[in-house]
Amino acid sequence: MSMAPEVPTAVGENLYLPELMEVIAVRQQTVDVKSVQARFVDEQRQRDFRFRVGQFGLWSRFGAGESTFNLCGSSTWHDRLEFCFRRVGKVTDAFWWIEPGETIGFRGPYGNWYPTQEWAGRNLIFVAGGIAMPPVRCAIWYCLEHREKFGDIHIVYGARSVGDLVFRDELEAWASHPRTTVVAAVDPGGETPDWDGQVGFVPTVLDNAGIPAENTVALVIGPPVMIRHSLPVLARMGIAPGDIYSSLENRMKCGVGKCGRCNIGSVYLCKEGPVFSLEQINQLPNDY
Amino acid sequence: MSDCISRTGLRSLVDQWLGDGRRVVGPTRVEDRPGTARFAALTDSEQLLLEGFSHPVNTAKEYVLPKSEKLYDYIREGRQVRLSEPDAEPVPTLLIGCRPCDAAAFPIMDAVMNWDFRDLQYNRRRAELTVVTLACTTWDECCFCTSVNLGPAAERGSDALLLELPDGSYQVRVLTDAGRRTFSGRLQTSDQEADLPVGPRPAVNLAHARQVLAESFDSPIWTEAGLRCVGCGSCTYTCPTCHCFDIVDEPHGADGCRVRNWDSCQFAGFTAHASGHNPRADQAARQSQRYLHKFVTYPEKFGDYLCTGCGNCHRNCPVNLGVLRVLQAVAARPAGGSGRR
Repeated sequence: MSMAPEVPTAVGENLYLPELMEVIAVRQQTVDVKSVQARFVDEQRQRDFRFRVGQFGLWSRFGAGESTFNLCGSSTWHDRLEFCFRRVGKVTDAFWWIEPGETIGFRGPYGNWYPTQEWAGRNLIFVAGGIAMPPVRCAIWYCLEHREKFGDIHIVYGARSVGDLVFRDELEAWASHPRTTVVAAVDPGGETPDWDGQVGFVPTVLDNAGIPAENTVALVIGPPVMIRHSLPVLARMGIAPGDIYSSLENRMKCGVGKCGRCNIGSVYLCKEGPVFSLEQINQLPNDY
Repeated sequence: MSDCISRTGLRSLVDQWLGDGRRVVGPTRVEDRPGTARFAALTDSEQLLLEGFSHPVNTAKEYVLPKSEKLYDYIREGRQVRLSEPDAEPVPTLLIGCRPCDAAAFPIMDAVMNWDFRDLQYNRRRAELTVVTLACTTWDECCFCTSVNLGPAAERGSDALLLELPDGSYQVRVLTDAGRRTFSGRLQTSDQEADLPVGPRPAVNLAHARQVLAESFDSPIWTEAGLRCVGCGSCTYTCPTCHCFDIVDEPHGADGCRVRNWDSCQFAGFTAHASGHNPRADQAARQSQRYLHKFVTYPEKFGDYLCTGCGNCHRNCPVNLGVLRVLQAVAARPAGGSGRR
């Protein structure tokens, strides 16, 4: 035959066959958000598995299907993987009822990652909105665990209401690290009587936080409206588009550049994303 | 002087493959629709249709990328799940009477299916496929291979190319080892040489059309095309190069299987997020995706077009759209500022 591709022989080359994982813990974060900790059934695989913060996996709930979730734990945690989801569709509804001991499937890690090596020596601002905290959380934990490599770290996290904050119990732990501040906020009307954080929308809270922006890299992930209004704030602070990063999402099926749906113009999110600088995002058409 | 094979010789080749328990796929008659053909697995060499139609209504891609294929079974054992891969070894397949535009689609799909990650299921079938192409002697108003750098006797993707000789036998151009093996001991020498067919006249200035397309992400062209398109997906399903797929679970009680099915960028659900947000919210956006993928995105990645000019998109379209029509409309616009990228 002509121009024949070299046929792979390894069993592991069935790209669509997930590896099996055992659920070890499930945590309800909000009324419709849960986080899951899981480990590979194959213990050796668990020990050997490596990923970079910012990457994602295709997670299987057999019988319902597969969905794309960021690996929201730090890449230094070798005893487990974590993901977090909102109950919003068929697969996440099936995942909602998952219990420790059950088998789920995992394919990955896929996609690119945050260039944390390039962030060394820089001050960091993490900005997250609502359910977008998980893909920021992995970077936060990674940077806090390598605290000496980075300058000041400022974390700004907002959600619609106090009940919508995910990983709320970790905010205090983050703030206890040296040269690290955490500003938590809820939208006006979303506060409770005992809420001691800020009240306001993320862009405004970010604007008022008085964060110095010299030699700074920002990671901003949230709903489009939050990102749209946060970018001008970061620009006013003097952060260059090449120093502002985000993680985009689109529907995916294969995760390996074949099924043809996650592209934004000529860029396939699964292989060439999900992490982009604002400089790169500005070149993309509105296809996400 | 040329190598040639008689029609009887060709049919005996088919019969031998069938007799060996291998698969032979070729154009076959469509009942009650004279002038049309359909690629199908043959059970008898008499079913092979070699003339009297322009292009089969379907394509041969389903023999490397089936409409639906099981990826694995999942079996529940209490709280645990076990996976089991189907052990079906692909059947050696002779694709005979293939069209040059179908043959050229295989290397085009190979590029995607081996883009860093190698697709095992696809590659296995591909390695077992021998492509014997018959150069076209007729073409219809939908054909436009010559507009996309191919032609009625293009060799790309074929293991052997047959060209009809005046006496009704076929000149055989063996192109690969697989082609050589297939025709070994079956060829005769002829003093005739086949005339090269010219094919349809080039019908669009593709270089210009591509330039316009590259800046037409949200051009009014797509509003027009989107209003006409009914989103049936026929163009994608009958396209030899369209390869997009879906992966879904098919539960049967507690157990079940995961399958890969053909999908189409023309369906709303193709890109719909679970949240309800859809980046390609209307048919115009989906039309934009289809043409930009074929002539901008794919060429940027793999240096080729995701189109072989077979014309099936037009032939099978209920509203008379199709790649050529759209490219012509695109090419009628000036390059530079026709729409925001």
